[in-house]
Amino acid sequence: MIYEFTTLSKNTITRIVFGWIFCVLIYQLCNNLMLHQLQDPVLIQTDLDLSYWAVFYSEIPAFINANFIASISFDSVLFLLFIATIIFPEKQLLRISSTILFFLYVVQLNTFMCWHYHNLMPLILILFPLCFKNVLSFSILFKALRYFVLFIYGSAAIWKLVRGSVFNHGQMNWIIDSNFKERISNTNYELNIFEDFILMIGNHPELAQIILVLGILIEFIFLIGFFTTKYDMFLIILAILFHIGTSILVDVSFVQLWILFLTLVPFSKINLPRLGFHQN
Amino acid sequence: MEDKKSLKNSFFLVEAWNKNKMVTSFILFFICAIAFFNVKHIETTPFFIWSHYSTPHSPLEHLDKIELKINGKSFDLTKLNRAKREMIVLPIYYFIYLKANNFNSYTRNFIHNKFKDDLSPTQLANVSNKLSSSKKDEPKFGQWLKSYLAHYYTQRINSIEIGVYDLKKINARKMIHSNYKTIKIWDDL
Repeated sequence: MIYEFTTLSKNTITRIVFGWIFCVLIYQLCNNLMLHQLQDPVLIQTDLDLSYWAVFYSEIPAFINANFIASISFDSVLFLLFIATIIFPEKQLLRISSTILFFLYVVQLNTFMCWHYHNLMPLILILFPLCFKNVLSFSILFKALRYFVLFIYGSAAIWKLVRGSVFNHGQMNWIIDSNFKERISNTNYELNIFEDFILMIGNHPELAQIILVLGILIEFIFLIGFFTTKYDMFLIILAILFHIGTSILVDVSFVQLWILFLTLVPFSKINLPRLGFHQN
Repeated sequence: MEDKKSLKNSFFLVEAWNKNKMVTSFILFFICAIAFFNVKHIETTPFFIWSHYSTPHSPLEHLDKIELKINGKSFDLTKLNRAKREMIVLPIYYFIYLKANNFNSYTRNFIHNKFKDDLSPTQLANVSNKLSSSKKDEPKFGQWLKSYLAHYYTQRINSIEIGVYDLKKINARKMIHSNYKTIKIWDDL
């Protein structure tokens, strides 16, 4: 069943999502990753991504990064739009403008970083349904996004199965080596307790292989969500535990994307009338 | 019969179609596009491909490591967290790739091969320069590194060197540097 949001509950979701992404932007700012901090990068890597091509062919990035005033203005407007959307979630124009600017920001960041990271761009998918004024359209797209979240994990498992990395002996050791190479080749680097634990796993190839297969099995489990919504809360917990694991193992948590788990929350069982949620 | 009909109507796409045909058509288009790009294994945002770590690798594969020297001294990149480090390391890796291929990147080659019959040489150069890095970016990259590294290196930067070490695995906890190859030195910054 598609859960039908009300205007009030949609506004609550808007505030939560934009609030989360605002925090992500603050994190980017603290790590010198906003456009005005990038110092007009020289190299660009658009790959074969047609969306990136469209943005760079338009020369918008050249205009924004041409001088400090333009780039700091872009970043400031982006932050202000997000704040304004959190305050006025019912304003469609604010939601659309924020989404467009966020998209432009991530395209430029990934292109200048010369790596098309998946840690920010998929947030566009949760911003997109919020751009709709019609609550029913939003409800349908929000539910569709739930299936997309399940697809992310399911397809990740299928890719590993199809390309053969699941049962490739030594795969996990390679993953550990390639992620830890800078640290374990640096004589001055002091390993923390988690890093020490992971390297211990690297010493036992069979154990490392079991952990890899378990990880892929967890990804496969998400396919169950295509058949039932009964286990959605369990899937949220599983996903968080999975990402804590990958964070320790390969230093990648994708924590920015955790807001996508909102699509797995069983809103029909939540009774918070002040926020617009009524139990069915 | 009634049960069958109610089951059919409970399928997400059927229910969505009954509620809003326009939005459901968009979802169907999105599903087709995702399937197409996954089969082709070419990513175009927002049709993402989640194939991380799916390529089989051997632990015996060659590993290397970037060396960044500022004013002749090694700059310890492990002191920076991943987010900060990658805005330095990934462009350096890409620069090394570009230099090794005389700045004929995968994107540039693709554009030239795909559009050489449809565009004039001037138009082709214009498009590829907008969408990919070119040889003229080589000296500018050092200048950019100098500017960006100022976030983490407070003294005046006079020279930058980037190079690559081969890594030799001693055991699961230790790797040592072997050969060092200088990739580029910018000493007139």
